[in-house]
Amino acid sequence: MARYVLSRLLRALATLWFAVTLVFIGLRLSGDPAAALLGPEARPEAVEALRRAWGLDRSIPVQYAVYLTNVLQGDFGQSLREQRAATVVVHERLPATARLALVSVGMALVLGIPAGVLAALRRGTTLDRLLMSVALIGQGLPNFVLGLFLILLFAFHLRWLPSGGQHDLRGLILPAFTLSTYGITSLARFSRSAVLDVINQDYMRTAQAKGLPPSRILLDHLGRNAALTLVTVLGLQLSVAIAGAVVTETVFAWPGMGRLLSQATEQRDFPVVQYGVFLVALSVVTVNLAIDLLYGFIDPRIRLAD
Amino acid sequence: MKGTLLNRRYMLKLAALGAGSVLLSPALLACRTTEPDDATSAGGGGETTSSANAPSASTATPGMASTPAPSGSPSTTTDRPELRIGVQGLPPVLDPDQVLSNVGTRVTYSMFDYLIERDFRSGTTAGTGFELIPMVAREWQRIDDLTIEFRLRDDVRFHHGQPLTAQDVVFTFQRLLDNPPDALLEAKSYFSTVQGVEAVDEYTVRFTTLYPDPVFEKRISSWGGWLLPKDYYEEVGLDGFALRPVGTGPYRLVEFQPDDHLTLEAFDEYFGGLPTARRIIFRVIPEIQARVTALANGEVDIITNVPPDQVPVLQQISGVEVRSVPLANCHVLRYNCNRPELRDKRVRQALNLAIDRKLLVDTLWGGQALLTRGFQFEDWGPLYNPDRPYLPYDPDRARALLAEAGYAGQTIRYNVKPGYYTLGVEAAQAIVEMWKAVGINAEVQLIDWADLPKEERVVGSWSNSNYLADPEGAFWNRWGKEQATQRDWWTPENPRFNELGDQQRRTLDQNFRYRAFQEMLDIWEDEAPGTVLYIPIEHYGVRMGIEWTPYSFYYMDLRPDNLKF
Repeated sequence: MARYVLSRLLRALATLWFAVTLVFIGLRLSGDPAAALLGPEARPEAVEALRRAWGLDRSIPVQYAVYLTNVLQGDFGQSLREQRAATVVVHERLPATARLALVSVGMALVLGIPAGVLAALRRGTTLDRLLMSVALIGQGLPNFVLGLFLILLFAFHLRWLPSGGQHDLRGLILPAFTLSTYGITSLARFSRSAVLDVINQDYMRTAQAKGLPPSRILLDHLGRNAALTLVTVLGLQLSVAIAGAVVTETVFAWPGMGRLLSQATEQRDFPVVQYGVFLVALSVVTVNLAIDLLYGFIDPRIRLAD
Repeated sequence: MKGTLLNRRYMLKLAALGAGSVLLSPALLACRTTEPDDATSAGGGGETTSSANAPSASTATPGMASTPAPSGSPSTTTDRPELRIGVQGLPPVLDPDQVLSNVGTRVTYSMFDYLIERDFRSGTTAGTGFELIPMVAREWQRIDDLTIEFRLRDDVRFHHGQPLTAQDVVFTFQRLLDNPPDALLEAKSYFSTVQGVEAVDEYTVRFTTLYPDPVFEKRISSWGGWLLPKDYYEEVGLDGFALRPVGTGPYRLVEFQPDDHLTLEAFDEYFGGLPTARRIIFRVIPEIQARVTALANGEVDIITNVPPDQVPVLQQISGVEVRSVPLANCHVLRYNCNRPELRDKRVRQALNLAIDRKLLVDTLWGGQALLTRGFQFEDWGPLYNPDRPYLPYDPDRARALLAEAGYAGQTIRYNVKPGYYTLGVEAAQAIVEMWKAVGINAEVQLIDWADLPKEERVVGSWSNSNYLADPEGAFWNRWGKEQATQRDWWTPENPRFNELGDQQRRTLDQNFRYRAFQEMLDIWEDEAPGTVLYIPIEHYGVRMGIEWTPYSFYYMDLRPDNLKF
């Protein structure tokens, strides 16, 4: 067991190292932060001085060694734009992103599963086809299209909801829904097939024959068997909400991490991007590590085979 | 990611919980910890937002700041409405001299005052006036060619309750002039002619200039001229002031979260009269469609930065109207005259002659952008030549010049940064087609200029702001001697250009200055290191019933005489 845990841990660390390195290289290829900050009219001496101050005049391998050493000590450096620690700049945005992510996961649960179960129980009917068509369209629709459409409908024409911003709780509804479409549609489709998988099993017939009420049957047998897939999708939805909220956050004026990262990238604020990507990688790696460890814990075959 | 979907069988709730806690724990931590800041500051400069020195915050919530305010506001504050403004962005800090940008000056204008004020509401076109009127200084006079004296009002108070005196004015300008930190270098550059500033008595201040400065009064009433409190600033320092500024303006800071909102409240001791709004809230709504909706939906009362294509949309919303003003800015092109394909001025002249500016204005800007008579703005007043011809469109002459110059089809790349200038990419595409129509092999290059080495720039899209309502602060400061243009793009063949430019800025003789600039414009048009496209129009969406006039600067003037409900 110890060996299994160790190997998983090492793999997680390697993944983190890879992410941290990839973002370092990608940023160095993308352009000069000093030129970006000082503008096209800057004197070359001023640009050079700034590059020196930021350590960007050193060779890439040296920069990389310094960067890695600092990261190992938890030092992600100062934001080039805001003159504060990159960690502080990123942490400020976490509450807004966390709120949006959690509500969107909640929405995915509350809307996706009932829709899938309903479609399975009424399989082959018009309702089933309707629900699944909507799910398919929902999955294919880009977030910026959906987001703008929702704003137009609910804020512009109907005037039921605000157009975004976190100034009152209703402002959460549209962005969270937009962000949760991935989860809702995936959950609906997976819970439908999960229900269909088990609905014809012998134990289901037995349960019905025993005279159990339909709600019990659904919860005990269906629920337990389908839960694995559902939680998998939820985990992925959470990653989508953390890492993929750039567009949604911009459309809905939501001051979260996605918007920060896209702005910081455009401004070549290396430390902020590096720390933000590190945090996203860390959360994804942590989730995966937890899953891997749980695999081994629940199913001994997996860790023996390893 | 989708590939792993079905393999991950046994993760159960831990997946959600694990990710949730990873996300939340630093979030909670961040609420308590603030890290010390000993950062070196980065230099300002260029056209956009200058760098920011931000907080060694001592406030409870990161990114939030509040002003130390004197005791409670009078009860009258409750009777007045709240004004909510949807903006596309806010500056990172609120030190007016650190955020010399569109988003910065828009909000700091309500918190700070000048010695003398440019009255944008004077003149014929609303919002573009250029008469100078008293503000904190009740009068001023030139004592001799090098000395100018200001007599201050004695009833001006700062937001923290202290009266403004000559000492504060002296401090304000010494902060910029005496070895300032990098973050203030851009602000300092607007006062390059000032030699010294001294207090004569408690309410009299005297400035001396290095040589006769014809635009000194304009400098003092433009960027960098905002008055700051000496005692408070010395107490909190550059970084403290940047997040918790104190001024004399009609509104004072309540709360500031740079990427979300800025809340100001009425400062009822304002010397310019009782502010007409109880509170002003600037809300960041980056996406235009969401801004328009927020206005239609009643979430905000005014929205800024409305592009031309949204004007008809706003016009159809009941209770809302569009207000527009020509900006103190012109979109220009700049040619790299050092490149072999552009070294012959006849090629550059041909580029200019091939551009149908009127067509651009009519199609892209709905007819609302302004064509210019050369590089000139009407608010130059006595230095504006109303008879100078508009920049010509003559494709036949362009073809002839190309043939004369022996242009052999070298590719001419037009560099534009997507999303930077309003309609910048659309204009680039149209102009490239116009150039192709006269036989120029041109193409649009969509790239951030920061990623393009100087020597590879061929045609660059650019804009020039009319900072001082004078050619000195619009033309000479961008195309003149020792500026980046003459360093990287163009060396005037005719030495008269730089001679005249040097002379005009050291004399109070406006007739001489007028003649000098006309001759310089002739040289500029002949050598063609670039050209003016048009003066863009800025649109705002405003709830009907709110009396408020937009200005040709990005300032939003919310003083009592320009904001009524």
